[in-house]
Amino acid sequence: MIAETKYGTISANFRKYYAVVRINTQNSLAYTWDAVSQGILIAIFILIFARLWKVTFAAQGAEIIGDLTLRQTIWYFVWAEAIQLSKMNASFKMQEEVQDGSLAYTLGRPYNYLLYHFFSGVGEVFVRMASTLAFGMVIAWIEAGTPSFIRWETLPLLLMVTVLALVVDFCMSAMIGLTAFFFEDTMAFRLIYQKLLLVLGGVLLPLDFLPDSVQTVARLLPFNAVIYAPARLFVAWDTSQFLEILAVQGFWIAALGFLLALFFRFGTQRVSINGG
Amino acid sequence: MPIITLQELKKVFRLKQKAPGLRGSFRALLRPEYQTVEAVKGISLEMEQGELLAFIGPNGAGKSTTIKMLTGILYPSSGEASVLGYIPWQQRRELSYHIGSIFGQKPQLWYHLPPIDTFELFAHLYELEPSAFRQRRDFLVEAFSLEELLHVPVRKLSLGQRMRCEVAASLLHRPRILFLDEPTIGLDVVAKQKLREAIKLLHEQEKLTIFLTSHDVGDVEALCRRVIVINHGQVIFDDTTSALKRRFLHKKIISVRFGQPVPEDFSVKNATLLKRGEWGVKIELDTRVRPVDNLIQAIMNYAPVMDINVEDPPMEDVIREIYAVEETIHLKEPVR
Repeated sequence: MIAETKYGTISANFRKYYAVVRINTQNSLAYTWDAVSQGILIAIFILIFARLWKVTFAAQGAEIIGDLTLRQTIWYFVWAEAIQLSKMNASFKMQEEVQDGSLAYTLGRPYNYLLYHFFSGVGEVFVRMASTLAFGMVIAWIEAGTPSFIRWETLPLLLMVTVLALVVDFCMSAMIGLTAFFFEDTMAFRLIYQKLLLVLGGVLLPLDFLPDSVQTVARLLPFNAVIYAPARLFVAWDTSQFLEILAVQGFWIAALGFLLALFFRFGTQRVSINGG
Repeated sequence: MPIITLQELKKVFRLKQKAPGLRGSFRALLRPEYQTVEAVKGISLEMEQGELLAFIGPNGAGKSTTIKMLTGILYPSSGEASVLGYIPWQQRRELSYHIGSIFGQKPQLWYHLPPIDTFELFAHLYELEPSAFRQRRDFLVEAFSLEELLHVPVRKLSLGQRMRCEVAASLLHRPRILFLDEPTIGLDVVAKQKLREAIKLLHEQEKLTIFLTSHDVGDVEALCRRVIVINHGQVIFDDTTSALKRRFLHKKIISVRFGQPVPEDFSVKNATLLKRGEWGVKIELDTRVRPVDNLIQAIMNYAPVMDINVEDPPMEDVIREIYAVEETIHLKEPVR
């Protein structure tokens, strides 16, 4: 073995993954229209949700449904849809890498494959999130008015929960992508995950609107930690709920992260690169 | 002391089989059948520091699988390998700091960004000191003539320009071994030449060890002193390039376009007329029987020549000939 330079120090790793975030942000800026189209999409979604919930609240003759006012409900969807439309697409990318053999290139580099993909995604999320939030907020402001209930001083903590939400999502999404090591196509798993996020994650409607028994189960599952938890905190900050969410996210990150690492280790031993 | 050692390295893949049609799909679903494919069947070889080795063979011979095991991407089914003292598949990340790799069909440059951005990313990935990176970058920019290309988005570069940037990017961290998998694939003659010259320069200046796989006999002739030919996962030839040329690369295909119609009774001595068109001919020449210059001279004297092209036979023909020799002399060992 050759004389070792000390590689992989904490500061070197920090610079390494920061460079990955930076180049992905630069690359995403080359796809400006992609970010803008996501923004237009969220604008349409918010418009539809706003009209729908206005009718629902009016039909019920209610000021509050499931602890949320109409205005809170509309603003809830801004944060929920911004996460949903901006989150990383790790499952699809990893499946493609396994299928087209480009895994050969990424595996042979001096970084942790999973961290590389996570930080690559972070670079893309920055650009998409900025666009979706900007478009979504404008429409919500027009449709629902000023979000006076939002406590802007809690924004750093909210961002922290949102970042952790992206980590939980990445763990599940990456595991789905890596099933390509064992199955030929991962689309079925991706669709199941997408639907679970829609219903139990709070994309379609806040969990508060679900029956109590479903809510109890949904709050323990990782899906709500991705969308509902940060979006709910955005419109109705509650410190004890924040701490509860942190604990749930922490648990799922530890559990899913451990499983993902195992999955990856086992999967790479089974790599058979197409075209190789 | 060898820096690459392979001992009886094997890789077996299990491939799912499916009969044609919808019925076959259902049957594969209910009763999957697998076929075992031995991609690499016990390869043993050694490589010294500073060697420039061509590892060639037809499609599906096991070249890329071997490279992927040597770079730690694939786990072998059995056998041993050591690269710079590391066991590649167990110490992949440690090894990656000391090797470079180019997979001709898998670009590593960021498509919408200029090459300089990928270079800077690599400087961080390989943990290079900023001053060392700048010095190395400037050297490679000069060696590969990249001054004009460095700030142009990769999507706007030609394939040849892109490939020069790819190779330069792989050399930023001063690897001791460079694995080149089909680096000249799809390049035109001029681009191939430029890339070969740059690789040769780096090899000479830095004693860089190069492990090259290619379909192009020209790459082998221009760059390598040693050639290993594999087919069906086995080494069938391991010797110097000059020995390969002497024994197997003695055929040339010469295509000529004349300035006047070719007469019907056109013939050529000590060579084989493969094809005769209205204005041109294609001739196969065995250079042991008749030298190339002698035939070209005769063609020039025969009639005005508008265009002439001298080509090597395709790799598949060379392999076929090696096999023919192997079978004739019943060798169990690789041909030497």
